[in-house]
Amino acid sequence: MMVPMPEPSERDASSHGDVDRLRSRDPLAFHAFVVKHQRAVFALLSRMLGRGAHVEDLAQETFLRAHRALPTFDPNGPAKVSTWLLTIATRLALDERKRRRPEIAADADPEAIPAQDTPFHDRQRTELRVALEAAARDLPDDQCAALVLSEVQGLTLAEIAMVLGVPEGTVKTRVFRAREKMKDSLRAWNPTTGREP
Amino acid sequence: MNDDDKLDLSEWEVDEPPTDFAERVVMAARAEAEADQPSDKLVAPAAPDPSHAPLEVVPPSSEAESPLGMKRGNRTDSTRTRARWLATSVAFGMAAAGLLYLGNTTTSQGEITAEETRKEVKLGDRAVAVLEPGASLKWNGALVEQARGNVFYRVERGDGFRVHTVSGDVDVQGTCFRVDLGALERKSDMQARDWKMGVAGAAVASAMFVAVYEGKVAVSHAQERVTVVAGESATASGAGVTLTSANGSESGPSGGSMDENALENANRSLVGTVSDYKKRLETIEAQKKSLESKLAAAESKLETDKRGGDSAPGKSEFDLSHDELVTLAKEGTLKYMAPCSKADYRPDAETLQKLALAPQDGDTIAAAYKKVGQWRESTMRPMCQEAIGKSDLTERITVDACMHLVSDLLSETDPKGRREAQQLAVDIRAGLKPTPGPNDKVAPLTRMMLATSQQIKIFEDELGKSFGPEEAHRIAYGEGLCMGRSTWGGGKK
Repeated sequence: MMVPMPEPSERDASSHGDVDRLRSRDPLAFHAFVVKHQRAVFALLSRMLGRGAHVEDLAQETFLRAHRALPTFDPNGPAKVSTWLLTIATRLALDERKRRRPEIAADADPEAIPAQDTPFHDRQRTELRVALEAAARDLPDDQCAALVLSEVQGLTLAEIAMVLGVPEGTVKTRVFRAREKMKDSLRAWNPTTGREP
Repeated sequence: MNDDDKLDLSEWEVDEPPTDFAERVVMAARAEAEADQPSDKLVAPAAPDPSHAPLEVVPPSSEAESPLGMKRGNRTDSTRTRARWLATSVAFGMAAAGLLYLGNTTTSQGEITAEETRKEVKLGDRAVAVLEPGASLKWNGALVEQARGNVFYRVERGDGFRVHTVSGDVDVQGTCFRVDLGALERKSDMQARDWKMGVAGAAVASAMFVAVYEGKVAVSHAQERVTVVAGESATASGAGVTLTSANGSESGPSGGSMDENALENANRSLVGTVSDYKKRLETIEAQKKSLESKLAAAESKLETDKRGGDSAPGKSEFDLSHDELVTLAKEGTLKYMAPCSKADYRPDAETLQKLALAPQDGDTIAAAYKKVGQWRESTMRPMCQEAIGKSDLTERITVDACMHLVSDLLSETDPKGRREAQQLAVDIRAGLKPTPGPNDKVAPLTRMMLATSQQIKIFEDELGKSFGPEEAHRIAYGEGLCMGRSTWGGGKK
């Protein structure tokens, strides 16, 4: 039998037995927990903060905070353990965005991409990546978090509302506005070719 | 682009976790847990409450980066620094991956904050620190970084040991001393004014007071270095290092005014500390007497049982009889004990003595551990790979961790199948269902559970070749050997 690796959206459910082992700080269960969720945490942090060494630092901090708080996690509460973990990661990322705002604004200059010896297509993709990162960087923090949790992590509106501690209606508005701003930014990135991401 | 279009974020790249990320996190969590372990006197860093207010934003700080990255103002660098030391421990962590939490290790690194009560912590093998309320420190081997507060240190003789503070460093080789970063703030206004004059305008909170009770220490700040011996104290600040001798006279490179009451305060504090220790000793003595009395009662009962009882005194709760296995099977509970996966494990002399074995028996036991390890790799590793596919992950994680991972994944994709796999394993183990043949279709999780619980038998058989079956059984289930114990689903953990 081959056990499929679950898609991100399927990673949420954990049996009570598993959660109980986590809550009792069973190291093997915690190891499995990290293995299972590390990519989701890295993805969230990378997209909210841009790539770099800070992602690993904050991912580690996310799991350490989770480890400390696991004994108090309520498996019968409204949040699934994966949503709860992303809540910690999101809040760390939001704090980091506030702290690093001038620094974030300064890096990743699209003009710095080497033009020579780069195939055109690769260069376009790289430019698109940089444009995506820049567009996300320019989003207000709350909209960026809502967008990443919705579009990238695949959370439902209710789950995002839980993570961000706001009503679902607010989440819907934030995601909508973030999408509009991203689209505007990306239109501005490549207005002549009409190439759409 | 139409407004209705869904955003295509596929080109939005992300960082991938390093292959050893999980091991590193587990090691770091372990270090934190160990810092909590000496007693419940230790205070873990505040746990986040994701359901409440957002986390605090740490403002940038102009203060210099410290060796252990304690300063919060330079967070990214500090966390990288921490990652570097954690990376150092990864080498050990990888080697002992299967042994996580199973062995006794020294708390060689960690951090502690005394919030409201005095805390005591062992800093590695050589030192003990007593933190007064409000004090906070972090340590890595013989390097301690004291962020704030008043801390008493006792350091056994040996190589260098350093306490780093924002106001200076204290280097010792074996002594008893106190480092106080908040002494000035607690003084009367008059005293504080004198101090402020003495430190030539340095920030109040950045002055360090050091009192030495035994031996000698070197107090340094920038290029200045002063030796402080028992009975003396020193103050280090931006204005330099100032020494106060036992008779109250002052000297020091800065030539500034002295903390006149420093020695008196230090001695008063020492008296308080000694008094506390005496009280603690008295408590321990009372506990010891109580335990001795309980031990005597238990020994008496054991003797009685040996003479006529049918029960098995001292029997491990994991040494399960057939009836117990059947009872557990009815609950669906898998309960087992297995030799730890530390490849080079060898019981120490104390463990051998407890097991009533000779020192040379350690070799036989070590060989049995190796044999089980080989069996585990050759039998269980392929099961792991069959369950979740052959990959870098399944090559690197321990088979025990793999079984947990398979269980977790199955819980999510097929919870009913997960339960059935465990039920079948416990039924087979209890003899309620036949043992499957190699070609029978059985879930990998069932096979892994059966194999895991079989390890102790393999270990026992291996020991039996040298010790005989009865003695092998006694040793395998005896106290002190490196063993993992687990209870899955239902029943008492």
